[in-house]
Amino acid sequence: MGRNKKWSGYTSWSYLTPKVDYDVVELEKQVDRFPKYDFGLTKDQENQVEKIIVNNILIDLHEHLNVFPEGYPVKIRAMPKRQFKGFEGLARSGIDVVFDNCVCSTYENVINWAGMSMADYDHQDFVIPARRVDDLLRAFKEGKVAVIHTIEQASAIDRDVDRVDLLYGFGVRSMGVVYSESNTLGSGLAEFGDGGLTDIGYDAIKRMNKTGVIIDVSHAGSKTAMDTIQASEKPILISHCGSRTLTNSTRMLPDEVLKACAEKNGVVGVEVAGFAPRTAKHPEGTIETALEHLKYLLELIGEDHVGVGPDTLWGDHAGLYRNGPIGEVRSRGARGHYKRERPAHLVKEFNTGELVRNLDYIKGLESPSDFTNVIRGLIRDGYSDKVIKKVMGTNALRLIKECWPI
Amino acid sequence: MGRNKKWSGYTSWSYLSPKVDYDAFPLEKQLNRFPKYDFGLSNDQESHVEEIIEKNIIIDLHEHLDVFPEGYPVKQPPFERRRQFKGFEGLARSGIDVVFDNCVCTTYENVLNWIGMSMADYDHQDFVIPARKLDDILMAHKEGKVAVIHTIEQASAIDRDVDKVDLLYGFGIRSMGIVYSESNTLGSGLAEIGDGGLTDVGYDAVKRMNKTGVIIDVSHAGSKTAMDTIQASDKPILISHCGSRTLWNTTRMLPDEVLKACAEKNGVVGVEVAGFAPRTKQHPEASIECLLDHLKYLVEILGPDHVGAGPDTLWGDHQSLYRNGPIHEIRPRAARGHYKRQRPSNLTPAHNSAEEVKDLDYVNGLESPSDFTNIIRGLAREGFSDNDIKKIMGLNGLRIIKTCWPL
Repeated sequence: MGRNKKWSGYTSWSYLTPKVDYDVVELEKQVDRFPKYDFGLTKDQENQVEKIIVNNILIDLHEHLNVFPEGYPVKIRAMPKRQFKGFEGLARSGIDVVFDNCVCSTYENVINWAGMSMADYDHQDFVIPARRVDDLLRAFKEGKVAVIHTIEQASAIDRDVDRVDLLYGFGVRSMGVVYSESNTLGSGLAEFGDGGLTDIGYDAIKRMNKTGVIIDVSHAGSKTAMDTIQASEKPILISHCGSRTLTNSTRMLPDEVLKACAEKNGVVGVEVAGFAPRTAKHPEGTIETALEHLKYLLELIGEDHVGVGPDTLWGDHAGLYRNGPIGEVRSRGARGHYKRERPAHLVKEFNTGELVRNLDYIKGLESPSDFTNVIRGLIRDGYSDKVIKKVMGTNALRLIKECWPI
Repeated sequence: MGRNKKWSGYTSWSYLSPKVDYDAFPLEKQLNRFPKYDFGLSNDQESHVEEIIEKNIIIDLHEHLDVFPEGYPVKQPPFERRRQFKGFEGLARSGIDVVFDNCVCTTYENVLNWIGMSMADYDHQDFVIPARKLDDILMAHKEGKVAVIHTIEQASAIDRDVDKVDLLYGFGIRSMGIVYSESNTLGSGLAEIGDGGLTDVGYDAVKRMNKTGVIIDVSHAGSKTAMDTIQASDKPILISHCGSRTLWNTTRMLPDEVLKACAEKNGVVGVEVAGFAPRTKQHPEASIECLLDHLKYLVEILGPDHVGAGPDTLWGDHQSLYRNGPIHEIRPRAARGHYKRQRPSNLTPAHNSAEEVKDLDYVNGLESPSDFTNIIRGLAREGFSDNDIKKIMGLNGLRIIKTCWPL
């Protein structure tokens, strides 16, 4: 059920003493951050939306469940050591299952993130760290939320394939092969060249298949993405991406890759992140660009292979790209690399800094609490309940069931 | 229920390909390793033992659930043994519902490897439940499963960073020994010449463990460190595998005053045999009888609500570890690992496990975790009431878990 979530009111680190055990910070709001986005739905349509939420499992393919400190990253630059999860925001979101992400470049980072997340969640009973399919079904039935811990790049593996088992043991159930920059496994979307999946990358894919880790190529170069889809014996998840045909940049994948994914029973999720991949029809950054990509994908690969992974958080997401602190991984468009001449014939580079220059926030899909706005948009645009249920949940459930051992 | 466990036949790493993904080698047997120990019980008494196992939650306070490679540690397999093979079969037949599994693990990295691999293994089957909350414990008993409580025998991985308690808890660790036999940043171990007690970081760690919900254990601590810990903790302390220094005068046992202090704060003291059995005057040879002697004594001085059993066994040649085993991460002075050092003669005799196992093949009656319920036979033979048996074999352990864990 999407409503009446059994949140007891627990907030992160309640089992500890603030200031004594951890640094206290003022946090951003989690609900009513901005005015509601108006889809112009009738009362009947709004009721229809509610019914869909209550009766169907809703699965969000890609978010960041932490709440930013107030004023981060523009007014303040330091992140506290411990993340604060959006329990309240989740409770009101209508979401049953959500993939939570850490960009995490190193093994140490992953351990800190996964270990602290689990420590937090193990002190309450509303959010379930999902380790098996049962956890997802239970979340839907019992008014809870199941969180699937995901790392956006599998760099932590380095050259040791046994790390897949270890990370799985710590609770990680889904992994991006690479982020926007390359690692030992393959090439990222921001690179000039793409050598495809390395031998270690190939080994990692095989081990992920055997162990039961979902594989994601949202940030990979197109050759690496294609190699991965071909090498994997299980369906691939492209959790947060879109079509290069609508938005011509390296951040989107070419249609042939998206089709290859769908052909092997995979799922492609659309995103907005803090900037929204712009289209000719929707040059401003709002939920409308995600809806446009969604509709295009429905035509291109069919209703069984599309999903939604907005990639938002509670806080000034756009600020991260506008003038945020140095992250662990920086694409060339921002700080982190020496200036380097990019060959002119390559696909247009993805420049988030440019996109958020005049953008405050993404109207309609600004935080995970806005997830069900996608349902409103689809209803407005005449999509059937049948298609909505698939896009908002059952496609993802199918993929998870195929990939996880239990 | 102790019998009819729902083991599907899963064995460690079945989701991978042997030789391709991991080193495969023959393992020691898990069942019928040695002749059954005869308690001389009548048919009725044996039936009664089975009834107790069936109806009550059986909690083993301290074991090592891995199966040794055949011939280990004398025959060293040429491999890096990162993956353990758990005794699924041995557990399925043991009658155990809940068991504390242990890693001696000196470093953070060791702990990560142990816990990560254990969880990866267990997450591919449905008979053993890594216990994270009380519900898992109760579910194991009800549904014919086994709940494993992941424990580290020393909290050295914390080093000087108390936030590591949260992290380790997040990985699934639910119980920690403060120190092993040698000191770390938190306090002094039983093998040391001196004992400065709980350090300031150790004190912080105890407080953080209380808040986070980690059970605290002082089985291997020096007596001052153990006492300091008992006093500092807001929650009851578990002494999972130990015994009384009055019955066996070595540093490996704790003095009665420490055991009593533990009981006074509602703690539980578990008796062990490990590979050598703490000997007693009545039973100078190593067998389950030594454990029963300690158990009986502890019930007298602490009462039946504060005693349990943590045999500290494994499936394999346990004695060889002490006799001529490989260099461990931690070696008490009596074995390899330290330069020869003059020990003041007025101290309690140092625990010398190598001496203990010199002529010992195995501990008769409590040789592996599969023998756990032999303790019930012994207690029945000695005339203990059902009530006391249920407490010693489970309810006392359950009480500590309920009092210490947040959920």
